[in-house]
Amino acid sequence: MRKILCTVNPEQVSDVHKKSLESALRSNYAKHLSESESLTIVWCELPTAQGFTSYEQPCVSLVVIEAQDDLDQDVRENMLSECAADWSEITGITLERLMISVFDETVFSEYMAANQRRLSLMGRIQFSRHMLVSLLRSKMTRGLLIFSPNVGS
Amino acid sequence: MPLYTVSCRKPLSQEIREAVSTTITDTHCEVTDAPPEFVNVVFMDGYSLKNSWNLAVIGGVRSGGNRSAELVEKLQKSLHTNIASASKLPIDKIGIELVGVRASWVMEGGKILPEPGSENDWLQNK
Repeated sequence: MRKILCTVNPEQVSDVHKKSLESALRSNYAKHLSESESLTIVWCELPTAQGFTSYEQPCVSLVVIEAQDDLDQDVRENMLSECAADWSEITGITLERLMISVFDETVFSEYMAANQRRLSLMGRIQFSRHMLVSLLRSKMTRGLLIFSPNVGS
Repeated sequence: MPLYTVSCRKPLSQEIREAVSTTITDTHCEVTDAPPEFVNVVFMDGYSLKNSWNLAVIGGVRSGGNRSAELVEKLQKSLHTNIASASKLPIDKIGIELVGVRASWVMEGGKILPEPGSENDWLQNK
């Protein structure tokens, strides 16, 4: 199962946007990367006060897409270009306000592992519980997998 | 890219967040010569961190180009010192880890990012 992690400002990207973006991301994933691989898209809603780009708030939208190792660069660039164009068209956000990436799965896993390594054992349990509860609740109430970056909120 | 994720035990005041964000951006740009428009800093709180840290930073930074092992080590040490100062925390209460990501894997402003050290051409052609 591959994953896409989207970190967005909820004041700029609504749930209606998110659902349209999910369709576009899934369509592009099937077209460029894999038609058979199952895909999970997770949304992190970052409050305005907690994100900075070039010293200023809010942070740009941040998208990390997991792909197979040693992906051909032309395929990667086509995927990035189409996803970026769709993102801009759906949300009205300019391309300058989007950082989008396609990581080989080895580096994607390393990045996720770094996020776990910073935590104590209790921290890992708390974070796992936070994610499970947040994602289940948001799926039932909003039809999307959404979590807050703040544990306990 | 870079993307610095700052995890904290408790929410930082907005004043400290701004100070930490500014020092991360300044330090990254001074050490690597990258332009500030590339630098993203996000804060998260409520985390039980290992080693009694109060603050843990993960930096996803471009690798390759002019980024030697020495430069990356210098970046990590400078960030550690400067974040401690900006956050008013002892240096041993802060953890930092950098993860290298190829520039060609990332798109900003609709364009693939340049190799580290080739930013000027990229910005002029933007």
